[in-house]
Amino acid sequence: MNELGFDFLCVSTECFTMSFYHDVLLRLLHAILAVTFFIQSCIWTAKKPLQFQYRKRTRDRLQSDARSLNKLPLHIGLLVLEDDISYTDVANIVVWCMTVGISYISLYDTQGDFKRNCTKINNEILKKQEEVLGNESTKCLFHLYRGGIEVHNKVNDCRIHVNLLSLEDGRQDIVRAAKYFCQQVACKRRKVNDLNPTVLENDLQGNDIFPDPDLIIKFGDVDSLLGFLPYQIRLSEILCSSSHHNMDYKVFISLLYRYAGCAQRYGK
Amino acid sequence: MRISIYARLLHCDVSEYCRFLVHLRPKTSCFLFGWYHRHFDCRMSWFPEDEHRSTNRFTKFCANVLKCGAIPKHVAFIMDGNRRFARKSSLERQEGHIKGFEKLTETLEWCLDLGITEVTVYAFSIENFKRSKEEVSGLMELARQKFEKLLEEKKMIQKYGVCIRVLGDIDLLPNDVKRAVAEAVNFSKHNNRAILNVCFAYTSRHEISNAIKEMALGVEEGFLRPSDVSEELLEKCLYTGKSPNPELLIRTSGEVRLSDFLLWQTTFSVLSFVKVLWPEFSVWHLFAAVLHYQRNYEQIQKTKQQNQETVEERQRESDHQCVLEDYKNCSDLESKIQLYAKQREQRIQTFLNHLDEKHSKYLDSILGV
Repeated sequence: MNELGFDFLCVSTECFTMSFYHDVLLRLLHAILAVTFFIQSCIWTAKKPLQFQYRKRTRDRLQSDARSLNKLPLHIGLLVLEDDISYTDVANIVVWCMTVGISYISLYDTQGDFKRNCTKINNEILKKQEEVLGNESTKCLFHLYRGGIEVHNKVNDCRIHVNLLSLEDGRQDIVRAAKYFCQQVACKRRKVNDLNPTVLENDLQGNDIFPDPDLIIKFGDVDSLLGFLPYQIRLSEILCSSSHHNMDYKVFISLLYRYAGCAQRYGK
Repeated sequence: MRISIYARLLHCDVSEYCRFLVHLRPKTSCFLFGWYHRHFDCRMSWFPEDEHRSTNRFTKFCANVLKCGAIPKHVAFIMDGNRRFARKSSLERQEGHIKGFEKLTETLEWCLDLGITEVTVYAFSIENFKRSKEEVSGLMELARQKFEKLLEEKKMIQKYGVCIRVLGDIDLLPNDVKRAVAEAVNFSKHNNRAILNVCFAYTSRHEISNAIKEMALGVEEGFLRPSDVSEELLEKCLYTGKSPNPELLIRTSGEVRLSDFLLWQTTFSVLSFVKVLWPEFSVWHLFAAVLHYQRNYEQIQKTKQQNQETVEERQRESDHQCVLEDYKNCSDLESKIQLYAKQREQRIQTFLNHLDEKHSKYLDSILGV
């Protein structure tokens, strides 16, 4: 009996030590990975001041770069998945987008910080516009939306639209549309078979004029969309950048070049 | 067309087969030989025989190391790049698709070894019907064969306890494929050790609008109230209603979009875009993706938790609103809300049971039971 018990103990300790070593190895592996990524980002930031030729950006320079791209996104989604948001840097990127000629811009974060601070964003963008575009900044007016609903309705004639979104918008919009449809069915105003993906798309859009995003740029280390407009992103190209803090213009334009190089087959 | 001729050929006896081969040009006979070989090779089966299972000790060791961390329960794959692979290695297009299937069976094995118990694969999109007629019929033939092969391996299905589900609008498929699919799904529906979801004639937008339709029908038939519609209920009405959402999505071939695949379900999944073409996908790519998942695990869990809390909060608010609408100015609101929540849950449960029943009746109707 004793011997049996001893055997059993032996096996279990062996298993235990094995799994202990495995665990240590995995932790080590993750630590190595983390250090590698950290060093990479350090090198990256150290390099930045050297790229002085990209420091000066004028409207002409931005627009000539845009002309060399063979396609531009109509709607760009900027996902800021970092805890610490710098509104100046975000505004900077938004102004670049505007100047290269992107008409629809969505800003997304999970906590709803953008939505809460929409005046701040508005002011930051205006300030940055003046910095980049100088006197011509008045020509580049924009509409600001919060979850698809317009906030600052001062200007009538403009072609740029900025939308602020949060976790509350994506899935919840679909649920809202579903509820609305079910109510209409209950009142016999619509039939069940009226619904198809295109009808649902129209229901979801409602009054807002934003087309489906063509390009998503995700800032931060998390490799997930974390709830960004699920229904609208089926054909969006998803590109990543490690951080929006002090983002370099060169990185921004290289992402647009990558987007221009993406070919879509639409199932064919 | 061509494929079906070969398929018929494979059923005739070997001497006849050889006599036939003599009349063919070398290139074609090479292709035929390869095909014949693969068809009867055990690799072409859904289940590798034990002696063929990868016994590489180093891979096993690495899998054990990985298993000390968080392992996703459910992984989704977009198997992209079969045609590009065929072009690259100058194979027939159909050969590329066959290679793709072989890779799938291999990948399922790796997943099981890692402890990933559910896998969802994007086999055929509704948009893919736009491809050339020849390619579509080739793919359908491949699917029919594979599902029929699966039914020949019933013993193995039971041994591994595999449940196969086909997600998508089965009505769009040709009748013979539909029947084979229904039979496989029906046969394996009670298994639960490993689950394979095959998205066939699927797009996510279709799935979501179909789920809303089901709920609207529930409202029309009196199972549900419009106010019962919620994130939780919608999720249960999707084709994947019985599964947890995939925690990891892997897309091969370097494309960086979702292409209308599990849009709702992958909102909180780790996305892993791999550069290689699907037939070149190896166990190391899978390990790298799992490692990547582990690096992202905590932050995503946080957002998921936050979302879960908002969902619950929203549900409480909705219940409150409904009770207020039902009885204006009443006392003892709290207990009424609790009662209402209980009734709502009951309504939803009855509706979901009804939905299940409807689904299995539909399968039976295809099988002609």
